[in-house]
Amino acid sequence: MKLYKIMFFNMMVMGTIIATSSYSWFSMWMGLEINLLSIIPLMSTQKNSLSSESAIKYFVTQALASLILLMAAIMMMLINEFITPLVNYHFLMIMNSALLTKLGAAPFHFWFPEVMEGLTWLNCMIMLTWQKIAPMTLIMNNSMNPTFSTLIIISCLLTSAMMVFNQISLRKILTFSSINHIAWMISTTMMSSSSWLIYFAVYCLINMNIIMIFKMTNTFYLKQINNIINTNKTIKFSYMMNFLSLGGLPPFIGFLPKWIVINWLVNNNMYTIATTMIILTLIMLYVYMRITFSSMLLNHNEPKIIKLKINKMAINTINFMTLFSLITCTLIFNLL
Amino acid sequence: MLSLSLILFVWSLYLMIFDMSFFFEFGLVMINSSSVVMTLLVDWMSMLFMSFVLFISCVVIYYSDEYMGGDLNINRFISLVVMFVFSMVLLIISPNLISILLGWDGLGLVSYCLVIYYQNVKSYNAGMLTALSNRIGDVALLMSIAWMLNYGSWSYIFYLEELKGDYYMNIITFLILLAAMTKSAQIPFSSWLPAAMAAPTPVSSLVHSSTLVTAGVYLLIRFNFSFGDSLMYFLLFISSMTMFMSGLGASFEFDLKKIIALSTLSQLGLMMSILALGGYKLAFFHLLVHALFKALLFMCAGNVIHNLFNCQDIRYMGGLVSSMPLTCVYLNICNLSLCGLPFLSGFYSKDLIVEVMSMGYLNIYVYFIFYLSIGLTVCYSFRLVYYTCVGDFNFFSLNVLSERNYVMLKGMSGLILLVIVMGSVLSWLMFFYPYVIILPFYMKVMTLFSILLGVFVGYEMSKFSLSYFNLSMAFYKTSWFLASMWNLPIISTHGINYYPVMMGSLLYKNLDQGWFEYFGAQKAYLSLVKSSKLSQIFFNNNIKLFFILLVMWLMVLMLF
Repeated sequence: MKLYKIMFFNMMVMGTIIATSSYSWFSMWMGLEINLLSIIPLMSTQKNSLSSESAIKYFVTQALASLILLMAAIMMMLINEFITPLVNYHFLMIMNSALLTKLGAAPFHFWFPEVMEGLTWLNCMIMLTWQKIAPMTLIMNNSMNPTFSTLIIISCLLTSAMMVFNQISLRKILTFSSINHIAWMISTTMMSSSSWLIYFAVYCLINMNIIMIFKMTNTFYLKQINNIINTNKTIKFSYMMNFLSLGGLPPFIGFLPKWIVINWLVNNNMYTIATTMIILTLIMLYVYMRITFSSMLLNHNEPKIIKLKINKMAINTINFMTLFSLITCTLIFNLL
Repeated sequence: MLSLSLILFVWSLYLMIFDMSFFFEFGLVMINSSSVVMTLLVDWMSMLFMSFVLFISCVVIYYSDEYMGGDLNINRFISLVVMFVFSMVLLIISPNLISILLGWDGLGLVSYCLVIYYQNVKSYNAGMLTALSNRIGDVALLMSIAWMLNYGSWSYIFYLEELKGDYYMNIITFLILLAAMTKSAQIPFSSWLPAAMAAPTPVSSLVHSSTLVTAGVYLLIRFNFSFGDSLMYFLLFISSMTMFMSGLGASFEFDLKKIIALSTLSQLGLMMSILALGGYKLAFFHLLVHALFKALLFMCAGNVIHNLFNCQDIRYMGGLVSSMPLTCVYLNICNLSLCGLPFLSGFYSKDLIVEVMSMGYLNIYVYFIFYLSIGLTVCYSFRLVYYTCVGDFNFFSLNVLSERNYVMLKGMSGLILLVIVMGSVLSWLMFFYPYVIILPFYMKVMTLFSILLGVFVGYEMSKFSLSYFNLSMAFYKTSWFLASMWNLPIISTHGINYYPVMMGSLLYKNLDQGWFEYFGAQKAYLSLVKSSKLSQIFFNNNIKLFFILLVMWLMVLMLF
């Protein structure tokens, strides 16, 4: 690892922290810019020309979004100085659109799979997890128009469900799954920030777990998934369970945040949106199951030469934690 | 068993006279503060019923020693009968729903084993019908156990009067009523009772007198304190219809055992309807008396069938009075007792029931259906006598008819005295002070009138000889409908089997493999793939497009 990457990584982290913890829109914008400028060098590698393409795409998109954000902030400041009853909803929507573009939520998502396709798995992980924090917290600061947010949620769900159906690239599948989860997270931002935190934490945990194995086995496409970790059935099995957890199937931890969100929505009498979200997420679950089943049940080959050297203990521990923490926590809290 | 029966009888007298009851409770387990206990209730009712059951079963077992003499599996048969009696005893003495379920399911299971005892297709079908009909009752009982959990204990005897009118209690009583209706073969579930005649005759004698079919009535007698008005009306309607329907059916039936089975059904309807009118003691009285003469009636029928090489069709019989005099005498005594001829045992219970009903102020439907059913009872009894005992002998010209089977005769003779005297004895024992019956003269003799009318009709309708046109054949289709119990066997076999299966195949063909497959799973998949392909187009050279879209969206927002 190059030395400068450590610095830029720290800068990136700091940028997010500045953005989330600052008090004014200007410093928020500043944090976002620091974050953006320091992730660009992290993306580019010499060995892969696609990475610089995606870095440029990411830069242009984020720069445009930052521009719009800054413009909206300045204009709101000029017109009504952020005094709540006077806030113009159009400007708020512009600001939110900019933030959603940074996030990669659905009608503004076109850059997202393109950028992801050129990245290494570690960068993908940063894009899917860490880069979500700053825009999402900023969205939470704005009071979003319910109709607008509902539209965003439904378009996120529909787009992700539709687009993921024909993908064979695992990075794109994970991207669209991330868009799907963004919809759920936006619905939490309408109501409670703590449930967003839980959702995000669990999502990151599962995603990290999945991406780590993909990185170790150098797996980028759906067909390759048939060949990975066939030598160790236990790890393969528990690893495949992670996809079900990501889809939100009940005994796993991925069910918990969805459960909380549905509970919130139902308590606030938002039955229709809750039902829509559940039904459209089913299609995502179908895709996860397609990934899982074909590699576990239908297609199997075991290479004799290539032996995977992985830390079984660590993987097993992480898998166990991500899969069964809901059960174990429930048991522990009931027993105590 | 005989001595136990006598001991229990004496004990019941003791309990009755001193008006006492003992209650034993053995705690088994405690679940969520609901205690599961095995309970024994010893009061005069359970003791008396148990003594009757044990007496009849001891006579029946003695009788079946000869009736089933040539059978290879007689040991299995006897042990099944003993298990049957044991389940019945368990049911009688427990005032707790869970322990009742033990006896209840035991009855259902063992009755299935007994009905399919002669292993042929007909008895398999009959056994399946019996078991499945009774299964409905089991389910109802299980559901009432589940509802009873709300009260914290399953000893229903404590809750009957206190919680009358409670919502849960209404549900429980309805479910209990459903269970009792299946066990006692009331109208929607009646078809299993004649079908269960596929069992050996001693079993029929035991089942149809005191054990299986009376279990439902007994349960209702125990539960009757908690019935609401509407439930009582419902029960009255159903049971009176059953009484009428089975009386009619018996008048057109030609199978000896089925006639007696239908008469049992009619008497069960009578018990149920007087229970629904509030006279639970009268129902119990009739239950006991009926048990005696019905057991003997079946044993006489068994004797006849035994002598006629297992032929049950009454058209082959006739003139048996000359060759089997004692059996015919017993048969006649039982029949007359069943008809309610004065001073035989059936008279005491049946006359009392009808008069209590006449004293009430219910509608004309109830009044007439009672008298019609009594007339029909007499009608089919005399028809039976006409066909079997008098006239010409119509069986094979070469046959052996004798009354040399002394074991069976001894068994039957054990009951005959009780059939004659037990009605009066019980009426003096159970009713300390006489029922006050005040009726006009014509209403008082209405019973006798309907009996005489029944005699006349029963004799005239069934008269037949060479080149003689049978009157009931003039209305062939009506007779067919009435003889087949108002199509109940068809409804409860074909109706619940054929139509749902047919419906299932139709739905499967048209929906699961047709419309749902095309517009459901396949269509969803295809449309998703199509839309996915469509939206993939946006990704060709998209970045420029995307930026233009974003800027235009901002323009739109700025403009408005």
